[in-house]
Amino acid sequence: MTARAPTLSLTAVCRTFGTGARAVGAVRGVSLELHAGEAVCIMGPSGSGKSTLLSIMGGLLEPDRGEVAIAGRRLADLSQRARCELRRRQVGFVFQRFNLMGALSAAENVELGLHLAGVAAPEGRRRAAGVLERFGLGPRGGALPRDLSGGEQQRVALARALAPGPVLLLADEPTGNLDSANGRRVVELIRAHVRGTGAAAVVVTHDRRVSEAMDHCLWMEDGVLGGFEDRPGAAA
Amino acid sequence: MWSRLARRNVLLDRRRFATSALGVAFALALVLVQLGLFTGLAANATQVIDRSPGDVWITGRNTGNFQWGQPIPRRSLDVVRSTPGIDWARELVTGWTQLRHPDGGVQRLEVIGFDLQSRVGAPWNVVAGDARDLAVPGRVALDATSRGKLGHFSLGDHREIGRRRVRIAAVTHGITSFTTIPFVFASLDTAREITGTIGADETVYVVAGLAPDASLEAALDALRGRLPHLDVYARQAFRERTRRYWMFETGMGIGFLLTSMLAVCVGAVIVSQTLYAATSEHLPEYGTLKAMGATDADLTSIVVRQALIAGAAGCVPGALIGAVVVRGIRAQGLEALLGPGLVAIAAGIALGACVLAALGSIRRVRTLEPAMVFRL
Repeated sequence: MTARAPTLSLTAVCRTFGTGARAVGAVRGVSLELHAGEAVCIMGPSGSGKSTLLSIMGGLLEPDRGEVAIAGRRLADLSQRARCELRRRQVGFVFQRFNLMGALSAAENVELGLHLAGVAAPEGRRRAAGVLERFGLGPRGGALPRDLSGGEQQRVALARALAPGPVLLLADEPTGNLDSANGRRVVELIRAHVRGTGAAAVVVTHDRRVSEAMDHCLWMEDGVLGGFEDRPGAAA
Repeated sequence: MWSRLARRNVLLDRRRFATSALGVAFALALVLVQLGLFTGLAANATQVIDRSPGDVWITGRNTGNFQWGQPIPRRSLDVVRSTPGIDWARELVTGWTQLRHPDGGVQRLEVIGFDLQSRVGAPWNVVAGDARDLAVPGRVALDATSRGKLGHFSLGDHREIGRRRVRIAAVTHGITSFTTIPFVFASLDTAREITGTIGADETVYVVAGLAPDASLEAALDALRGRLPHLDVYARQAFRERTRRYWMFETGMGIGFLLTSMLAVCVGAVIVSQTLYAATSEHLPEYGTLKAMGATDADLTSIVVRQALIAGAAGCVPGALIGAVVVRGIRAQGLEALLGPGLVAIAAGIALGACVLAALGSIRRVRTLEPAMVFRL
C-alpha cells in the first residue's frame, strides 16, 4: 500500500460475540489501511467474519479492542451523533438485497442519501436526477423499487450510496443477487467512482469476477484477515 | 423527506392504514359523544344561573348545587340590599312538587319561583302566553318538551300541581331539566304555595347585582361578614360548584371519563398494533436508514408522523360520526353540546393517544442495531 494518509484505518481490531465458553471471535486482530483511490475485496467462507468486519469499518458496530479511523477521525473519539454525521457524509453503503425504501421512487431513494448528507431538497432533486442519468436510469427515476429489475435496483442503491460523494464505499455482496451482465455493470460503476473521485472501496464478495476487478484481494477466515493479493491496474 | 417517507409508508399498506384510521374514527366519535353529553349535562345543571343576571349568589350553608337549594331567612334579602357595593338584590325560590294527572298518576316537578320584576330565574323561550301573566296567583309556565311526562296541555288549561289547581299561563320550549324532572315556573308566592315547604318568611336564594365600579371581592367579603351563617358565592363560583358537584362528586363525570378513556385506549391499541406490525415489516428499511446515518430522533419522527397521519385520517370521519350521533341525541330531547372547541380537544386527545400508541414501535426502531443490515 502507499504512504498516503489512509481513508480507512483498522488497527488490531477484535470483536467477540457471546461470553465464556460460548464466546466466538468474529474478528480477531485485524489491521488494515486503505488509501484514497484503492478498491479492495474481501473474500472468505460464510461465517468467517466479513460482515462483522464491514460493520466495524462503517462504524455500525464497535470493536471490543483496537482502533478504527475514517478519513483520519478515530471512531472511538466520536459521539453517537458525530458517528451518524460521519456516516451520512463520508461513508456509502451497498447491500446484497439493495435495501431501498419500498415506498419511495428510485429518484427519491437517491435524494434520501443526499438529504442525509445535508443537501437541500431542490439541489438534492437535481443531483439525484443527474446521478440516475449517469447510471443509465434516467427514465426510471419515478419508478418504485418493486417495479425495477434487480440490476436496476442495485444501480439505484449504488447511486444512493455514491451521490453524496463519500470517501469510503462499503459494499456487501453487491452482485450477489444479480446476473453476470448486471453484476459487471455494478462493478464497473464502483470502479469508475473510485477512479473518478479518489474514494476508497471495500467490497465483500464471493464472486471471483468482482475480486478480479479490485486492486487488492484479501482472504478472511475464522475472523482473521490475510492472504493479501495485489492486482495493480486490475480493472483499469 | 421524513414526512414524505412516513406518508408513503402509510399509504403503501392501505388496508392497515384504513384499520388504524377506522379505530381512531370510532374512538373519537365515542369520545365526542361522551364529551357532548357531559358538557350538555354540565350546561343544563347551571342553565338557570347562566340565564339570570346578577354577580353574587347567597345560599343556605353547604348547598352543594343549585338543584338542592334549602330555605334561608327572607330577611337576608334586606341585609344584602343594605350591603355596600350592592346595587340590587332579588330572591329566587326553588323546590319540588308534584303534578297530579286526571287518572291519579303523579309527576314530580322542579319549581322555579322568580321575582317578576327581574329576570332572575325567569323562563326563556316562551312560545305561548306571556311570562308576565304569572304575576296572577295560581298561574304557571310549563315546557312543551315535557309533554311526554306531563301529558298534552295547552295554554289556558288547568292542572293540579302541589294540591292546588293552577292555570297554564305560558308555555316554554326546550327548557329541559338536568334531573330530567320537568320545570314549572311561577311567581314567588305561587312557588311557595305549590312546594309547600318554603314559608312566607323564607326564600331559597338571594341573587344580587354589584353597583357600578364596586369591587366583587370587597362585596363578597362584606356579605360574608354580614351573613356568617349563609354561603356567599360569586356567580361563576356557584356555577362551578354546581357543575363540580354533579360531574365529579356524584361519580357521573368519572363514568363519562372512564368511558372516554376506554374508547381512547381501544383506538390506541388498534393504532399501536397496526403501527407495530408495519414497523416490524419495515425494520430492514429502518436499519438501512440507521446505517446511512439517520439518528434515533429521525427514525422516531418517521414513526410519530405515521401515527399522526393515521390519527388525522381517523379524526375527520370520527368528528362527523360524533356530530351525527350528538345531533340524534339532541333530537331525542337530551342535552348534548358539541362545539368546535370540544372537537379540537377530543381530536388533540386522539392524536396524543396515537403518539403514545407509537411508543412500542419507536422503542423497536431506536433499539435496532444498524449492523443488522449486513446480516439480512
